[in-house]
Amino acid sequence: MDTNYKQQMRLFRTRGRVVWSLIGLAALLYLPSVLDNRSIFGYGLTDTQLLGIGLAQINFTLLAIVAATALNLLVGYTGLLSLGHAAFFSIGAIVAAVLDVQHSTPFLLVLLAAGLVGALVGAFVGLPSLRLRGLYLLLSTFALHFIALYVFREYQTRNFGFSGIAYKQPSVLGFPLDSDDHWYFLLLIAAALTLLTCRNLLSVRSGRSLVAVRDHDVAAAALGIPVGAQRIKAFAISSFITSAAGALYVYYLGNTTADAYTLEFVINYFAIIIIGGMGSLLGSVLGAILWTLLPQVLSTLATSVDPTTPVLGNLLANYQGQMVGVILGLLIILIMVFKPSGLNGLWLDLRRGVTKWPYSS
Amino acid sequence: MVEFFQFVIGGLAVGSIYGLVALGFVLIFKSTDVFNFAQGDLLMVGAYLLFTCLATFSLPMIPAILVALAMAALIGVLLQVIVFRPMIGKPLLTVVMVTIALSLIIRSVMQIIYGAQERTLPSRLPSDAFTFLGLHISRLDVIVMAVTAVTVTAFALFFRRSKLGLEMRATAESVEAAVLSGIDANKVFILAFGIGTATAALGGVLMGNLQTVSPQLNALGLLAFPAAVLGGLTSIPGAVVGGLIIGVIQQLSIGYISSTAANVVVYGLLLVMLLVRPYGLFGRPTVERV
Amino acid sequence: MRLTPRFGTALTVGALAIGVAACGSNSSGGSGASSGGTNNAKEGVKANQVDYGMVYDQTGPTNVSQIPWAHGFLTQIKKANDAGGINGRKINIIAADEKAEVPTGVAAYKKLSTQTPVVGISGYGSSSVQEAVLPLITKDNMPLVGPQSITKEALVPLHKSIFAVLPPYSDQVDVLLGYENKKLGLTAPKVGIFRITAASGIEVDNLIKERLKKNGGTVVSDQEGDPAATSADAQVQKIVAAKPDYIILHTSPPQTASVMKALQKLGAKIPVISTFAGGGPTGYQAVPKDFGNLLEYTAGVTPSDVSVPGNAQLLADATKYGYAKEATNTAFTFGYLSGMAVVQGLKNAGKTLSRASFIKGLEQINGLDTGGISEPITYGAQDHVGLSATRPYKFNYDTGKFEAIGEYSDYNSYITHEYGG
Repeated sequence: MDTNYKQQMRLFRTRGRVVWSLIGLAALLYLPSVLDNRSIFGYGLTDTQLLGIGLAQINFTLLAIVAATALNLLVGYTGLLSLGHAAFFSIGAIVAAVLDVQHSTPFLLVLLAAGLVGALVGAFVGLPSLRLRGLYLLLSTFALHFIALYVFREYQTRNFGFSGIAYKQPSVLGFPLDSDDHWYFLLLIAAALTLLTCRNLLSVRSGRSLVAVRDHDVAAAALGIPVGAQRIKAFAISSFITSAAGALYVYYLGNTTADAYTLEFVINYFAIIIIGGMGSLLGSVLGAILWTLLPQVLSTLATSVDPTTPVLGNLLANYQGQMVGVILGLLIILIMVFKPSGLNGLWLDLRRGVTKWPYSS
Repeated sequence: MVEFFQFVIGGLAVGSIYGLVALGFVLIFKSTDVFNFAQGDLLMVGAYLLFTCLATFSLPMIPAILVALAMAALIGVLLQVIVFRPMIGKPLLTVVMVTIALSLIIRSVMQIIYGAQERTLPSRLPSDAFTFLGLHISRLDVIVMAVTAVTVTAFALFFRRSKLGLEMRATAESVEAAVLSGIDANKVFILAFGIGTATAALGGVLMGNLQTVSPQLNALGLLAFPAAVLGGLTSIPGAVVGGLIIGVIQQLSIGYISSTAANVVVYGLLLVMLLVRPYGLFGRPTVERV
Repeated sequence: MRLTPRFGTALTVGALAIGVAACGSNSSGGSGASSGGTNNAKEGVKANQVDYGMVYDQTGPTNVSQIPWAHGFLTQIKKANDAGGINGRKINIIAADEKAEVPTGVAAYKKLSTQTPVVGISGYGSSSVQEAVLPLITKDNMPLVGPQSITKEALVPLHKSIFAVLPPYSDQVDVLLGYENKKLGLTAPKVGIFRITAASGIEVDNLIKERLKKNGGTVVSDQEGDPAATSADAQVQKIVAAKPDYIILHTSPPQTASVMKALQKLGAKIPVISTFAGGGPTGYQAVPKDFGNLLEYTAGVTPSDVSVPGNAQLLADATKYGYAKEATNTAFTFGYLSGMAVVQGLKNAGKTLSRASFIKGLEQINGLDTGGISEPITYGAQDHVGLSATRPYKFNYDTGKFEAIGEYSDYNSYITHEYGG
């Protein structure tokens, strides 16, 4: 039990957690070799057993975790509904294009610059939040989305032509990022850094004041919390992370066009944090894992069904994407109806059930 | 100058469709607090239902439209009873997520049933053109605007004069107070969904005539939200006015600047307007209790 | 031993692990590298099965044309499998959805190149996704055969493993301009352009402007339209105001319909010629005959209601495999031809099948007869543009069918082969 503030801020609250974390770390470090060799401890696995997942999908999931955490910080913890997520991704892409493709800058510096530009724009975009609330703020960030898209498209057509912007292969301190394995470790570090930073931010006074602003801004103001400044700060931090993630994203893909930053992109990230659990870091992780990996898993299961099965086989062969969509949609509705607090809520229930057994209700 | 008015006429026709979708959206939102992301997909369903009525059942145009609207209303009612009644009282974003998932399901199911290619309606409303004061107008555009005007008037009369309409308004103000007054809230919710879906389907029916029946029709739902917000999320006539304004601004932007700039202009102006008047053109400021 | 929560958790985890391991007891795992001979598991070639990949937009914004394309392709594959497979191996299709999104497309490629390896891929019809996977494809020398539309970067410079089945935009624009200029008797035409906002729209735009600059003519109005838009009135109004001799269209079928309706509304009788993208019945069904007759489109394949022996075969095959409703869609015909080329290439590769031998097999295709659906398909070591021949089509309202205008060979003189072939 915590008896002082310092204890409450600790990263590992119990010794058990240290053990689990070490086991988890070992598993994460062993994961690339499992996925590359398609075998575990020398025992071979079929594609279906591995649920059709490869290192590439894991890398996308890690990127999604970073971006989802940033969005959750803004929407879940501070209560600011913002549709500008894709716009900040695109800002990261433009900064990377200007600095690296056109002027050749070291990779880490590009990431930092992308983050800073994103933070600046984010702070600026946060200004309407001082006056608008809820759905009306949503629309003003929607305007940002289109403006950023327009700027990106003009920049792209003027400097790179219609085929998109191609990025050079980056290297970190002499370590070239030329394979999924190398990217995995970089992205793992990025995700860990993001989660750690956000967790630490949220366990100190300034982070908790964000939650206060979300829950009851008038009371927060009465307590002496500078509500406006905190909102802008939330926008700035969230946009920093998102733009840096945007830069990472385009380097990993090697190529991007303005068409990639759609409204669907934004809605996907909203879906991730809602399903995962708003206002929860674990929720961001779980939501990102579910949303990016589950469609792949369902597709793999769909392909493994024999096409000659009476009705289902034909449907899966001809309309695979649609069947995956129906199943995914039904799953989401089930989760939302029975556990509105999302996957994080499910996890907390599970944990409570196990630790308090047989006394859990 | 003629060119300007030509753009405006085109914008009013397109804007009427946005207005219809926004109308259904605001109706559902106001009565049941459900922010319906699937409104565009319901429009698509309406278009496909009309296609089935015309092609498979071989009905003449007017009966086909009525049957399609009735079927759409039934679907809306079923959705309310099966999906949204268990969600009453849940947080707003959870319900939004459910509508997003519903949108995905509706789209996928429609594509499985009808296939993914676009269809042309076997018979259509008349679309010949005539000139009026030097402007080229299509008969179909006039029909669309007329239908929208009639719908809005019917709604206004319904909500102001009829008992059911009053019940719906009461429930929209406060569910608890309405229930305490003896109003059956479930009936109101069912009605709201039925009418809201039918309105979206009406938009789909008109779109099917204006263009083609395709799975991409759901993209129209996107423009319903800014139309609704522009008019004020609590005002039904405001939604239609919002839609008309957005339609006109869009066409003027395409005409005088470019197609890609149109979205920027529409949303930019929307942003400016929201900063000046956050509750929309016709919305009433909501008083929040601390 | 007391069943404490921690013990219980450990037990559950252990049970799950055993369960997963038991699930695939007869798998040969990832180390199934076969010893020499004719199999090559690392490239998807097994004893009596060969894995082939399809990556197309199943649920995204362009699925309206990509799903029929896929079904046309699958028709050929099913047909080949029913005839006993190819050299004793059945073709097993591994399909992935790219949703017209770059990351999904890239992830799908990585899956098909190493996780569930395939001997070749068809698809990647969205230009932005195609561009994104190009470097990966060239690095792995993975065969990519017959995407629904091919980008310039995929053909120029010549990539060892990429094969186009349909005429690239440079050939189409050549024929389009040549035919229309000759028909109207113009040498320096005033052209209005309406194009889609996507990358291919800009490519077509540039091609047109280059040719007009070289051969004479001007672009009096250049408009673009978002395919999701409900009407094209504003853009068409501007084009008509600029008084062009004819209008070039490059956009989706629904937007073609919007453009024709806008022309009808304005009462403007200007000839319209479209690339294959706007082809099909949609544009014609939107307007009555007197305006519909203004529209013609060019394509490298013949619509299925023009009676040539190949189309009779196509319709029979489509009906047999349950795709009868889509057989009238030109996208279906594209996929059908791509499938034909793939099947022939696999046959030519012989018993020793690998990605390299598949590529050689494709390059050996010389004059593949499509029964009149298109000109014969020919590849070569330096020619990966299988088809260049394009011709115009129009719709006959009285018979309700499409008609070809002339023969493919009539228009070959216009083609400059800018992208190769």
